[in-house]
Amino acid sequence: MSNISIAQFHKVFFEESLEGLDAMEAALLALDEGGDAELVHSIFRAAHSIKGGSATFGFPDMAALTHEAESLLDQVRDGRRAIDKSIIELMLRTVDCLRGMFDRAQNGQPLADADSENLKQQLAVAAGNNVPAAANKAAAKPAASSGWIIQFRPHAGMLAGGNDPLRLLRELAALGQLVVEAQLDRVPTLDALDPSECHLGWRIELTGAVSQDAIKTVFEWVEDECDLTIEPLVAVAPPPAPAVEAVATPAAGAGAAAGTTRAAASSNDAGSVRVAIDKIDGLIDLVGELVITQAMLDQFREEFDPSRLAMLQHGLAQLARHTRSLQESVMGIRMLPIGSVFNRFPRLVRDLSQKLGKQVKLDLVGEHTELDKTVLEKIGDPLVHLVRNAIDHGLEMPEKRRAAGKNEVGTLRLEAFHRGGSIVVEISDDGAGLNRDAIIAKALQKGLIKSGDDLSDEAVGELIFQPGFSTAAVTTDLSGRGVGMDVVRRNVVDLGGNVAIKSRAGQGTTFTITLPLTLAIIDGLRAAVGGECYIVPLVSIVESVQLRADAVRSVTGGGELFRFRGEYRPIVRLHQQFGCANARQNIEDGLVIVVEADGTQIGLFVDELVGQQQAVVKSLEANYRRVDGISGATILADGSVALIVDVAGLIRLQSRRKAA
Amino acid sequence: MGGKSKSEARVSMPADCRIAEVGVLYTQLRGALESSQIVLDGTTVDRVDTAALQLLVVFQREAKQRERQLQWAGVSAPLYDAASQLGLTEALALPAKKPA
Repeated sequence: MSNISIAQFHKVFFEESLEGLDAMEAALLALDEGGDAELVHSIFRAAHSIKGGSATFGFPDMAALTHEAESLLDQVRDGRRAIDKSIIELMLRTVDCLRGMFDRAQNGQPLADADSENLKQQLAVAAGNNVPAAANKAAAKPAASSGWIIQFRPHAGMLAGGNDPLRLLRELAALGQLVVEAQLDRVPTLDALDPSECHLGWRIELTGAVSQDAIKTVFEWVEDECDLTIEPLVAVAPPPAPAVEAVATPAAGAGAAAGTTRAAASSNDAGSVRVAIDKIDGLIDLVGELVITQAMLDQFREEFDPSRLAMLQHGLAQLARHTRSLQESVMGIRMLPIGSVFNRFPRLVRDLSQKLGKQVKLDLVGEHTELDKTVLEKIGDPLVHLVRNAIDHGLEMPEKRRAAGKNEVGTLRLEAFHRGGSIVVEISDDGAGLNRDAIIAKALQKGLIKSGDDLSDEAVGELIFQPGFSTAAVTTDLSGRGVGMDVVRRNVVDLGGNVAIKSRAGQGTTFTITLPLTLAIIDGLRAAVGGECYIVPLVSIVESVQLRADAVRSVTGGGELFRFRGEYRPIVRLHQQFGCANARQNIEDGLVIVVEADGTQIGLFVDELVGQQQAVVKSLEANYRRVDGISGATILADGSVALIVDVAGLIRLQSRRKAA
Repeated sequence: MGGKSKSEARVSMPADCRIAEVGVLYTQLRGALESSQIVLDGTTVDRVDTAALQLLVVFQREAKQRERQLQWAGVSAPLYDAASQLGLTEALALPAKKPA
């Protein structure tokens, strides 16, 4: 029995369609700024493929909506009407509405809602307004008829091939009014039935101003798997106006589908990545090299001879090189350009600046910088918060900017680039900068600080990352969304990254987000503690020092501090933290690794450093349970498990202990 | 399957009633034919395709031929919609009105 089901293609369809929507949106925005006719074509193409796909994959509501959008676009494309702001606005709303529908489709909810129905009507009305007349339209397309009789007889193997007549008929129903008559003459007895074979046939009457091509398109995929005849309906009924007809029939289908509640199929949503062919080819090449090296080593094993030791060394070196390249290439598959995240901002900036009456120029730089897919998916929301804040609170109103001697149009710049082993994303505006006095006043009121006199600008900037510190009430009188910067920072820290802020009064604010290239592999230092091994991520390490006993002070309450570069920093003894036996106790016998996260430095006391290594991160949570101060585990060369130290977590633990 | 003594058989259709699942349903339905009264429960059907509906049509015919009493205990909206889209409501003897 075949297990083929159309549902398995849904994911790809969703992904492709969402990409299509992104392209559509980008083109609409470009058109808004006076783009050329080619843009209309690309918008049309995107709408068309979403329409086709949604009908194929059984989302009639979506097909109906895109059908209306497509009709309107078709008129623009044919030059029958000029593109104007109202059409662009309508299309942008369609894009939003479709995104909502895809969201609901992924969650198995009914697709249509009041909004989408409303929008569909508006699109139909807009498309109808400028249509000369229904009859003219029909006359302009000779292949159109007021109706068709379709004789459709699937071959026995069609169902097993993943093509469901039900879907095709639903697609036809989106084109016009259907009268379906099932033909059961070839149905076998129950005992003789192979349930995966199709023995049904249909005679379908389709009324509506539909072209023969449109019907053929529906059956395009199955033309080899069925007997199909399409003949014009002889009795010609007066053709209804296309706009009215188009609204009426799909809406009926939409209503029916809206009543259905689909089971959520997204529970095991593992996600997928689309990979460029050249990356795959590179991988295949590397695997080929690996096989050759392996054969070479194999040969050495068979004809073992100490005189050929050089060859063995050569082979092993090659093996190491290929393995490393292979690893890099495989990691590369997970890497996607950050442009996919950046793409949402032109729209956001346009909408927001219009709403607030500000003028904003958006600069996107480094869209091709690649980031791990997981990081990419999770960085979107923090970026949106920051961009929103920058426009809402950072950039001033045009009058105010003029008064300050600045260009009326504010600039918002998003830039992504590599620095060291990390990806840096900077969000900078040339707005008013942080309002230092207001922030200090608020912080004093909240009891976060005792006095604001000797605070550095950095320290003031840090204040806005404190939980419960709403910038909205402070820096502008606009009703802000109260987006907590602490949430932004937490999201970024969860990704193994960091956020820093730099602000200059009157000149603007820059947020710098530093992110790891990948979450799957980290570079780390292996440190021995007692009989155990811990990995400290290299990115967090400032340096390691051997301390003299007199450099360490005990403080009341049991903590220890050490003097480092003129300042005292807390020491965390890893053996105490993680309960390791047989560890070195005397501070002079071991080493202190100075680590930093969230702008705070602490010292980790360990027995000794063993070496540097790349660690493939395994989730501790998934395999065991969450442990404070540990971000994951890795397998060492000898097969033993080493835990990876969560530096930010340890610092949080340390400050909590201090507060307690 | 057991003897002819069973007077009533009840077949509950699964939520996902599509080609991948029809094999199980096929076996269940064949078993149900041993009873004189058969109740089909389609209340929980969420997804259904042509393969499943065709099986039900064939089953209906078979039941009629063998003079079994066949009743629907319930028909979900997706099941009803699919059947009416394929023009099979009559052949399946579905209740005339769509359930709420």
